[in-house]
Amino acid sequence: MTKKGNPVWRKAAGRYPDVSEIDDYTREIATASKIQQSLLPDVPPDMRGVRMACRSIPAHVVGGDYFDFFRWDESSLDLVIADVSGHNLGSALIMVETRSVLRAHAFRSGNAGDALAVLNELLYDDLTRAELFISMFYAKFSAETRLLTYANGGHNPPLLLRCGQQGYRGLDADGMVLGVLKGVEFEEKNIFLREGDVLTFYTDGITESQNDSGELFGAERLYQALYAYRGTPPEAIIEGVLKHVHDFSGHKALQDDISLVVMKID
Amino acid sequence: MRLEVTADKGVSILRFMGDRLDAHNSDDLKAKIKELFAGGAKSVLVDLTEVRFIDSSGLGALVSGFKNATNYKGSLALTGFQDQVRSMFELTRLNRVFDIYASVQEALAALSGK
Repeated sequence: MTKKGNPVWRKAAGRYPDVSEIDDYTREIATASKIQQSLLPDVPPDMRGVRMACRSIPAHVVGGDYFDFFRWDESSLDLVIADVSGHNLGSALIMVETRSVLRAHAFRSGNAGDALAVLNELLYDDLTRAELFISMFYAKFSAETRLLTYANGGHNPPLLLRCGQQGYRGLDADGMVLGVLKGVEFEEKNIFLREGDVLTFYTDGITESQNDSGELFGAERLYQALYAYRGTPPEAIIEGVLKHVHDFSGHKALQDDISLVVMKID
Repeated sequence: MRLEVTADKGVSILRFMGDRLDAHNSDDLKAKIKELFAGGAKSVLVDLTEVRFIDSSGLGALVSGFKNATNYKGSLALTGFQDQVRSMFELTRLNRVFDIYASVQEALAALSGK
């Protein structure tokens, strides 16, 4: 991090920091990074009827991506993926707050749309003060009925690849990114998944990866990667997508955080 | 990136001169919008004609501008959307929050009458 870009140095009012201050700062950021990464699930919960894998890679030491799983019983699960605007320390702090609020208000009985509406109200003031917003997709899945109900707060629509079919469907529903307006209603939609379907939740770090000519990776290339690896286990699908993104963006450093959750229905 | 401010028919036109509105320059845009409202501007039009790429930090600067407009009892409008910018506004549904015009001329015609 440059001195100019680092608020700690800007506040130093004309004085250059000494080496020990830089060391302290680096150490503290490293600690924050370690804690933040530990707040994301390492592995998804085990559930009969569905196989899942997840991965998150911050562009900088800390980031604003978040995903989580809430397993209510042996066949029902909530899955949330979110992206706090920006990808810096401020985004990371809001990500941690979002996780706490979400966990404190476990939405077992509510529906996905209500979950987003409640979160929007609870987080609105803090997001306004922080000058940030959050995109979030909230899904509830029953492994017993294979019914997925979902609501979307302006997040990239997850891509559904139906078994034995070409093409994809983006799961979108009417809503708004969180923290912009109060009193937003979030539409809830349903879809029955089928054996062999692959559903991929992701953050925009994937689709906004760029190559040397400034071209974006985009949803179509993500689909191509998913289609190529659709017959493999979820973990291998994630590896395949990351390889495609890496091959596309070449030597360019990651510009934004990347998170992926892949569900494959058995 | 450069920010250029002009005034026409009672509207402050803030032209973003650069092809990327992202984490590297969104703070400057945010500060400039706030400065305009704090300085008494009632109607601010941000011209994004040159912007080929906007990310969430860029959108965040405009959302912050929208909230500042509300606080100062002013209005913030946008114009000059290229494809990627338009699709980001549609994805996040922020197109429902802002007044978005096809051109500076169209915006001025609408805003100067308010």
